[in-house]
Amino acid sequence: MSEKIQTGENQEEKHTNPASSDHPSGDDKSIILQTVEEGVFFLNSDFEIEPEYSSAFVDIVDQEVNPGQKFLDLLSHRVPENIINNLIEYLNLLFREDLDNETLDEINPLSKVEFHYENRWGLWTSSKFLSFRFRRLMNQAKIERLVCTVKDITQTESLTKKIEEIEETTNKQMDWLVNILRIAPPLLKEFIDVSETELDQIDTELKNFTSSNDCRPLLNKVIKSLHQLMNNASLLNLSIFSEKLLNFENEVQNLRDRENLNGSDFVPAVIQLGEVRQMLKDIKALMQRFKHYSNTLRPTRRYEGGLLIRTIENLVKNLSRQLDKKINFDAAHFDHAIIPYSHQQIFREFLIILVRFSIFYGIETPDERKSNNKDPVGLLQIETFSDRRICGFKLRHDGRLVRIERLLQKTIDSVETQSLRDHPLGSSQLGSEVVRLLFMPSLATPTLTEAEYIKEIFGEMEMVKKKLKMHRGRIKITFTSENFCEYTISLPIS
Amino acid sequence: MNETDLHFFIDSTMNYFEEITNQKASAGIPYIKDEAPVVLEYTGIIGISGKRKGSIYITANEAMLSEIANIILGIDKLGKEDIKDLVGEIANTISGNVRQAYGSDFMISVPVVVEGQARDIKLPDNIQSFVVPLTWRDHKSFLVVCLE
Repeated sequence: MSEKIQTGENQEEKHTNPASSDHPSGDDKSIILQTVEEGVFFLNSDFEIEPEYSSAFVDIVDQEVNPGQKFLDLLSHRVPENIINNLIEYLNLLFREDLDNETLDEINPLSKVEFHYENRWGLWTSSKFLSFRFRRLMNQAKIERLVCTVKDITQTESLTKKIEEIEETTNKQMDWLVNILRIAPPLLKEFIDVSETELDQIDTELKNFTSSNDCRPLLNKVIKSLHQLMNNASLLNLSIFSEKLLNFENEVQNLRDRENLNGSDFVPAVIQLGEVRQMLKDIKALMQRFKHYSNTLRPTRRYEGGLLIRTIENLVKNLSRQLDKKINFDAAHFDHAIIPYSHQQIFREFLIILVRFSIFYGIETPDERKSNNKDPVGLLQIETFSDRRICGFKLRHDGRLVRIERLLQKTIDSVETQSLRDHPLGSSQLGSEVVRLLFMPSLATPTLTEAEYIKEIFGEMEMVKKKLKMHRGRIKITFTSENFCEYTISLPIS
Repeated sequence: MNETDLHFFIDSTMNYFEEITNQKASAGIPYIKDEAPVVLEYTGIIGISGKRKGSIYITANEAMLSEIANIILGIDKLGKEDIKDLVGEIANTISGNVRQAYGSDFMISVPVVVEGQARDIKLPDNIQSFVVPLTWRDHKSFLVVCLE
């Protein structure tokens, strides 16, 4: 690197200089240039940097400055080409005596410029906003050279930019806050962890895909993962996140419906994946920031319990409407407060999945019920129980298990369960077999119109089963084929 | 980075292969780059600054680059320097084409070439990077785009 301060004058010249009392000597100039915080340098009429410049100048431009170096070369690759072109014109104007400083200041292309820094390879590393000012030095009414100053105005500029960004993101963050602050931190953490694992899974699938393979199985896997994530987000009422996931899923579904896909077709989906990842990252960061507040701002257990009941109520209402069924929902004996904090998420998941399953396959339509001499309005009840060691809930409905039976029959008929046929089930065994069937996703039969839906629900069941095992929990089903079915889920408290 | 940006880079790369070799390359499914290195034997990197910031690189094996060089120059045996020039040139052409679309505010650096399987190419941490697997003839290569 060149010497930063070079005055080019010797001591003798300075002492004999008659103007030395009015103007700084070489030493003084050197001291000034060393201490001044602004970048100061001089340009001659060939736009070359003169040997005297301040150390701040070298620091600001962060590159070696050689006396005699063209100023434009210094800016090359650091500011856009169009600015350099304007600058050439501007520097020429600066050497015209007929133009005043004020006018020239107004058209200065470097009055605020984003200056880009590179590493030793020439690759961009960072950027700063710099402000250059030019003043003319006259000698006998002729412009001899330019004195130039440069300041780092990044802080001011980035402050303005930051304010704009903050304004832009505040609304988004407020929405997130409203969404996440009412969720218990462990639940949110679990949601984020599960989501990250699921997204990693999607990433891995995409990464390992080879073009010779059929895309459809891959896309089905991605859709399944996204569906799982959406369900998880819905359980926590994270509407912003589920909307984002819905867009992502739509993109993937569009792909699934298309023929002859190539890598480029996946770009929108991959970009969406990136956005979902970014959103998770942002939520995580937000969660971190509000870590200390979340306990105090968290709603009461009673409110949370109410929220869960309302979620289930809405689910019952919506599904009943969708399937033309009439169902009374009873949660009078469901006490959310007895569920330990750590089990809340899994209880929610179980409840929602079992409710969906019961409405889809258990409770009949009013006409079906009437023909079986039943009340046309079905009943779905949930209640909690606990003792010292375990806690859990029961879900009971008064529908039939007609589809389960059908599925069971199909299973018995299938090759996979050959052994079941060889060893017919006793009635006491039937309950546990149904449990087993509930958790076997591969049993979905493609001949059924709702095959995909069954597959999805069974997929959920499979996941819940894994979680149940993880928590050392149990599931028990009691039923008669015509009158009722009761699921009992229990988990150890400790 | 949005869809258009990534499409630009992919299309520009595809065009390069088609124009130079008269043979189409195919792009695999892009994915988000994680910590796993994406580096083959030769890598041409271009830094991007200006209104958009980041970098892109293309990484390929010697066999593929030799075949391309053979098509362009008609030479069978190439020195390492020629191969390095070629991979730098590919990266330069791809980003140069993209620059034409984005205008002069989109600044590109001179190509930097890394030879050998470096542990990984350092990209800005705060910007998402996308990896596009490429297949030309039977050769695998990767385009990595990291753009703010």
